[in-house]
Amino acid sequence: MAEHNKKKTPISGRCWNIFVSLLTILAALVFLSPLYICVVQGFKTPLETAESILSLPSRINLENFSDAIETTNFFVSLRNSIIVTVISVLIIIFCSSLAGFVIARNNTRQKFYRGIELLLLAGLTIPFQIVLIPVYKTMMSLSLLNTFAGAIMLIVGNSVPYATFLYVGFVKTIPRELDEAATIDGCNMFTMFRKVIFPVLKPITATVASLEMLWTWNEFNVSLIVLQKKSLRTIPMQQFYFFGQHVSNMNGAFAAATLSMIPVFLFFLVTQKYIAGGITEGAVKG
Amino acid sequence: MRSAFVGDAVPVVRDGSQEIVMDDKKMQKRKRIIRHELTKFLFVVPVLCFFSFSILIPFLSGIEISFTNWDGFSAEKDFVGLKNYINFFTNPSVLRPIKNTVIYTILTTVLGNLTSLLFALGINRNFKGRAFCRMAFFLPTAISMVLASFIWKYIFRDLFSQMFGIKNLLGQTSTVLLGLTLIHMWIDVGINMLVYLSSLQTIPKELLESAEIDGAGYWKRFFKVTLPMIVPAFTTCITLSITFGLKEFALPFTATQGGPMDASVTIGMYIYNNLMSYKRAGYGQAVAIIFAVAIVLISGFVSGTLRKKEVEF
Repeated sequence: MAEHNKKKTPISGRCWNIFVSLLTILAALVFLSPLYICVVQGFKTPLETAESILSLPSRINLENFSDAIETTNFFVSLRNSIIVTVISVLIIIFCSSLAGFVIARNNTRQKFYRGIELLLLAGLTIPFQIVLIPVYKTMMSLSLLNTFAGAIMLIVGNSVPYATFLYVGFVKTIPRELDEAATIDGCNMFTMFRKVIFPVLKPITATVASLEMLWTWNEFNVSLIVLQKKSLRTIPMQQFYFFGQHVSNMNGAFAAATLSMIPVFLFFLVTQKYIAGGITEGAVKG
Repeated sequence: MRSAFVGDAVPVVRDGSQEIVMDDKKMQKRKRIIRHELTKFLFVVPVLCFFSFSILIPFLSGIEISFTNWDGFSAEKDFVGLKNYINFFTNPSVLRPIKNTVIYTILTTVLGNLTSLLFALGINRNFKGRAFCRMAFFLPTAISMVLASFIWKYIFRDLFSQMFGIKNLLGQTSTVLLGLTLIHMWIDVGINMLVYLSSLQTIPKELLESAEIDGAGYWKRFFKVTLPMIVPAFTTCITLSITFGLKEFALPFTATQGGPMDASVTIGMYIYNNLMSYKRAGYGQAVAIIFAVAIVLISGFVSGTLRKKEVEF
């Protein structure tokens, strides 16, 4: 391919090619620079930052980090984030894989299941602010404000439309013979789903899990109204309140920011493939 | 298929003494079908429960709230009829958030899509560092709005003034929406870029090559072959960008709190403020309902118009 190109492309074309490559790499560096700025400030002393924002720290300085862990209650909010994210994602996968399977296999009662599918799709377009006030009212009257249960229920409810949509698309690619064969073997539907279908859904489950994990981890709208109490705040909430106050120690705040990025980026690097798959999958069909 | 039920033999009782006329096998079959249908329904019950609890029921009860004067915290509320809706059309305070949201949506849609298309075109070639660039554009999508706001607030305030002598974009009423757009693009461009990229990769190489043989230059190939082929990606990305722009809440909320002087209050924030600060939940909900109708109409219109332009190959 490369040789083929060389033969055909005139010099000006090759120059253009190199120019575009350099431009793309430059844009990529610009895109990464805010992260660089954030991490570097986390290691620097205020004096070093005052001298130059972009320079590297003169030595690896971990004081900011130990301060940050203390002042932001890092481990408490980390625990809260993990609780909310893990439970929500497990419930999302359980519910939407079941529903996605049945909606995709709507050989009987077609209109009914198609109706449910359309209802869920309509739910995708509704912004959270439209149900914000009634949701707040319900949470208040059921005393679910400031509980993990309340937050998780809302997060799951807002996430199942997209997750189900992804499952429906995937199940349609699985040959029907698979579940028919299992039914003839005398399995009931639940056993059949658990033993035959769910294992086949693994690729899309990975996608749904990665996407929803990331989105729930960064979730802001629901947490803002439900998880206000200090001891229940997730990482984004904790940071919202922490950064919202007058931050006197900028470098400490950047250390806190850097600290909170570590779990997300580790997760993101591992699951990038599935996340990208989930986004383009939804886009192509939507 | 209702016929499974209707067509079956129905037990007929004659004189009370006669045996029930019923094929045992058919009876069993019917039982099995009912059980099967019930199990099937059970599969969708969990999703329906969560969905109803957090979207469907709140949406419906929101319509009710919009006709009341609920203040957002007390137990009682009175029915006020169309007053909130009349307020919406007569109260000029809503014009500011509408204007802000529209400008912000146009900025993010146009700049965001141009940038992500350019990035996708840049990446859709063979060169060293391709994987690195792809990762760099995509990585910021993993960051929470709170964190992005914090980092960018600092960049706008300290770095830009120190390095380029540019005044804080977020600090002035005339530039605050542009500043927010830049933050939004940083977080969001990676997603649209992926959609454009996967669409670009579906273009058959032969098509571009034959156009080249026919003497079409780079730009001609781009406008006559590439662009028409990726219209489906435009449909998706532009519709999504417009909806996201109209919905925007977290970014202005965390970066500027709507300031300076309400220059970055979006409709989403206006609804939130009516509940939490102004204690006018009923009115806020009326705004929300009108807003929902507007979003459905706008995104329906946009995706409909773009779909018509899609080229089928």
